[in-house]
Amino acid sequence: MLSIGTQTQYVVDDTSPEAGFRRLKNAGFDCVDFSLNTYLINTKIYKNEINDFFKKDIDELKAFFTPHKNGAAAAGIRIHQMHMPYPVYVPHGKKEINDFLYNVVAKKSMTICAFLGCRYIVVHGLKLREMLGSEEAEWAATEKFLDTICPMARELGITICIENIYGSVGQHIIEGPCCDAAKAAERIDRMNDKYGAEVLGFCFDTGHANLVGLDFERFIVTLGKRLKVLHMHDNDGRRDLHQLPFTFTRTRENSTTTDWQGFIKGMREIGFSGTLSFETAPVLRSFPVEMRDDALSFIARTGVYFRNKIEGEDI
Amino acid sequence: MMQVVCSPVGFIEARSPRQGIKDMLGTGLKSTVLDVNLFCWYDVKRHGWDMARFHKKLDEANDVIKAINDGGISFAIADGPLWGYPRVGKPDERCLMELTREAMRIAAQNGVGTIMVHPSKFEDAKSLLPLAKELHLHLLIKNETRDIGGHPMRGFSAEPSEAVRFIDALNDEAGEKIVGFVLDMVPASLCGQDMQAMVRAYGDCLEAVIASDVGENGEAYLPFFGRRMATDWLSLLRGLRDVDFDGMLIVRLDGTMAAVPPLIRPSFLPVVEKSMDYLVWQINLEKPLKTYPSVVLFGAGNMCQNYMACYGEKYPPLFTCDNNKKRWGEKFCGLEVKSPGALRSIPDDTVILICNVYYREIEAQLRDMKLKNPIAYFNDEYMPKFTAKRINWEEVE
Repeated sequence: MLSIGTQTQYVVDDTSPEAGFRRLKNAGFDCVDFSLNTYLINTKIYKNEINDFFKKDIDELKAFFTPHKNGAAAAGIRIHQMHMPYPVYVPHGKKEINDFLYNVVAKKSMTICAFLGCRYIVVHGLKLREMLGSEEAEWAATEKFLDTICPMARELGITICIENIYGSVGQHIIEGPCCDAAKAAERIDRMNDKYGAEVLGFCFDTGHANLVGLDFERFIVTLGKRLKVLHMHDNDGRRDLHQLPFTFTRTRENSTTTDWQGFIKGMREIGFSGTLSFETAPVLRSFPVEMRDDALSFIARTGVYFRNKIEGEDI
Repeated sequence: MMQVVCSPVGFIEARSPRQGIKDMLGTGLKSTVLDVNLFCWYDVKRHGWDMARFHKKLDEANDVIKAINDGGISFAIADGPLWGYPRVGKPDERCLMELTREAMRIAAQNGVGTIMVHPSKFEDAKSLLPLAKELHLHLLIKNETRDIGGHPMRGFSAEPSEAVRFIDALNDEAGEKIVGFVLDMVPASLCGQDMQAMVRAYGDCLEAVIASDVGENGEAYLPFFGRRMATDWLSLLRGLRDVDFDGMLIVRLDGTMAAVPPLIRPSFLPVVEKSMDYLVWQINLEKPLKTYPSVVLFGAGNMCQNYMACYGEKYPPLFTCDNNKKRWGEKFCGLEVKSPGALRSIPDDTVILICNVYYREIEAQLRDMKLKNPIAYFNDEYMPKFTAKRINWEEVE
């Protein structure tokens, strides 16, 4: 049976992680997407504001995350996937910062992932198309980065998942790395052959796909078994809002603007058997504190709906 | 040789075409699109998909077509009925294909050899092949969107690998090469697609590009005059340069023309021509480098730096020059910075490439020097790569 998960962000805190995991369990989740990226957030990275968190040595980091590991276990929650801090490279950024992100943060993230018993870590490809001149050159840079962590992935039994992400031209959203499923499939197969292990897989982000009008069903079917994890969320097609599925409409008929039918059909066709993981942490910020547990339960309930449809109910 | 074609949508009205025709004749734009969408859609909301009404409308179109032809404007290409142009409810596929066949006949009757068609599935495209062969018509399919609750998503032929597969299959079916591709920037932009990757994938199949700045709701604006930063011109230009594109550039203006008062339109249309000249110039930016045996740059700043990063190895300049005396004798990006006077000693067939935004002022300076050399402008807004970090002149000084 498909598992149902969501992010730890805004629920699991560092002072009493077990309590947060219990809230998630009570809301109806089986597992979580551990929000490692919140310890070094992207907006600060782009401002050259790098905190000291990942400067701790690995034993200190393991000690820091031990309560999280134990708390999840005590609450009966599995840490299914996590998000590596991103970006791992800032175009035209300071060399010392890029070296730190690329060589230190990435590798320590892998170790933390294994320590938490987490099978999948999601990474963002490098956003270098404008700078380097083509998607192929951009991927070559991403592959070079992946080559620095794939040996660890093989050794630790982790699958690194590349994700479809977006970029922008002014205020306008354009496709970013990994928005071509056929290319992604070929690259994943090649990397896995090279390392003789399933070191690379794919994370399909429904919200990002919606922003750039991807055909959900075709994308998912093209990826097939390479699709390992999900970031499920919704938006208005214009901004990356990370809201609940079925939230947005644009016409008086009020039908959803996101192709959830295509999503279900695609997932059904490939026989997806992993976790329906919601990347909807911002929902918890928009609901009042008193309603957040209700919101979490509703997200989990939405997961049950998708599970039933993917596992065979009539669409 | 690239051909620029101006779509009539937005300024030639089907009910009274003569004013728009006259306005267009006042510019250098002399070819247009035989667009049946001008005639088809007015009554759909009120009357639904009434084929009898459509046929009546298309009969009336002959008068407009004649008026355009008589006015001295030629039809370079035709456009078949496109559902959602404007959005008029769910399409009736059967009616749409019947109308498409009618549009193909109108194109052939008027001596137009190529028509853009808008099927939503492969079988519909295939069904058009017998008539296309009979009428000796060339068909272009394009990247389409499909509608999910009012939100445009990638539709038929939007993914380039799929489009190329369709085109190959259609040409195989036809037994001759009668189907090609037209890239429409509106759906590509709405779906945030990497147009460089699209153009590269289409390769020889790409015969035309519908160029426009694109609004949030799919409005087509004059290139470089809409919400400029919202259209990914960089990826399009990179792609068109990558494949040495020399097909048809179709400009669509309906968004812009809706904003320009009719009284101002005659004055505005020459700007359309200039804008398209600029687009063609950007696509052909590298041509002077291929044409002349050697090059000298004028300017020793960011533009020069970007030239050297992108073209310095393939087309190494003899030197660069600058009006700033303080910089004479300096080495910049591996080039010696010389006084403009040094240009008097270069071979006559060396092209002088102005790498400075004060183009017209510098060109006048060079003309005053009575140099025989060809002079061309360089521009680094849309470069093949941007590996060089921009110079902070305050730090340098």
